[in-house]
Amino acid sequence: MSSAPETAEKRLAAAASLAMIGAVLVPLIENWREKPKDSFPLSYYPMFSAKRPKRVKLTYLVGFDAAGTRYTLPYAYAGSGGLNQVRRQIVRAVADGRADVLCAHVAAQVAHVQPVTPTEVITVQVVSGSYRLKEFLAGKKEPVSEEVHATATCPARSKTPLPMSTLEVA
Amino acid sequence: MPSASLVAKLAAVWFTPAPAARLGLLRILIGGWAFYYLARRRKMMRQVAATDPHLFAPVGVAKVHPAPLPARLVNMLVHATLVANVAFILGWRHRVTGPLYSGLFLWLLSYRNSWSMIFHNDNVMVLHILTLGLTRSADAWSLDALGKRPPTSWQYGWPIRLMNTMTVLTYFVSGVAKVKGPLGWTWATGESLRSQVAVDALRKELLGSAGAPLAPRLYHAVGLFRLLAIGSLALELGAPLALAHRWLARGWAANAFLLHWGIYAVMKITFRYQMAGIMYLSFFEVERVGAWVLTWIARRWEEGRR
Repeated sequence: MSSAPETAEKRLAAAASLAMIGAVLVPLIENWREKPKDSFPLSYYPMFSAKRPKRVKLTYLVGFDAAGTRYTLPYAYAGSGGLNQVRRQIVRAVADGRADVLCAHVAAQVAHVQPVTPTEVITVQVVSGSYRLKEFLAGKKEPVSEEVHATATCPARSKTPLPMSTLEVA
Repeated sequence: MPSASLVAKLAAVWFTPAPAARLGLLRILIGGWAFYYLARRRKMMRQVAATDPHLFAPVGVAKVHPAPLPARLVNMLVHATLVANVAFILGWRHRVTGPLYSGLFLWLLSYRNSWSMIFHNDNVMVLHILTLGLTRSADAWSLDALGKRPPTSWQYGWPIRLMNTMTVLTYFVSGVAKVKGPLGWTWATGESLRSQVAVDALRKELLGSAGAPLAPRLYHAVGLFRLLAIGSLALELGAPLALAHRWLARGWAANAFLLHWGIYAVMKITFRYQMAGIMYLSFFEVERVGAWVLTWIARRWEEGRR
């Protein structure tokens, strides 16, 4: 037989357990909503559930040297927090009409820390390209179509480190 | 309403006694992992906190302040969390430092996930830390418990059972999202997984990150993706069944662990808490390892003195 304080403690433990289990399960409702919303740490885990088209559009950064040779620029020139976070931030900057601000920021970053490329990058662009997945993975790396959102020339190289606030998407 | 006997049976299972050492070691191992995880991200957290305020999209408890906090304050909170984390690992004044640390950790990771992207690999770690911070996880293997040897009790069993239940339920929720998504049960054909792998490889290449070398090689292996998709769905939707027996649970945990390493091999997506195996420790009798380590240290100590 449990004592009265033990019974009360067990009831509290049971209530806390049910609350936590319920909280983990509640996001399931999002699957039935027209516009599901994700959260943290209680999520409905939508990753890997999306339907992917055969042709996908992506927004990214490219750089050019004086001869016009094109290079892919790492996402880290646009911001911090990992590839997927910065990828979304780039898309959002373009959608908000702030591609030129982002591009100028990336150009300043490139001027400050040159990417590891055979020649010096002097111009950067924020672009969206469409790719056929099957062809891309077969080695055809060129986009089916591409749209340039903004172009910026890299300023003269600065030797002093950029302040923290300017290291992010402006 | 469930019958009284069913409630009694469920209560008997839920409150099965466990040694205090198991919960205590889980506190140290999971708290130690969380410390390593956060300490390595101090610089990144500082940079994220200085991101353009336009990009702030608060989630979870970070919603209590609709605007970003000053970067200096976030930096201070990161360090306060690390200090509280040390107290949590040591089990020092756990009744205060446990809830304080778990609350700070919840807020900090919610804030980190409030900049346009939610990192789902952190979710279970936060839920585990909350459970350990709010329960009697420092009754053994702690400064609070020096000189004490608490008996095996139901008070140490249910937090572990809760951690295991939340772990399997997150997989179940993830499985439901797949079959309730736009593809429905056709997700099991593997086509979606294959496309996801391809999109991921494309993103990594165009955004200047190292891609998964296996992705282009495996892309044409449609049968392999079908097998992986069926396996993933079975592991996710069947996850709650793992709670029926401890050996079933351990088998499930081993398969989930391998699933994450498989995802890493094919997509180079890192689920750190899962891949390190820390997430599944609560399914095992970790106190046996703790006792073995103590015996080994004692033996070495004795040998050194001779």
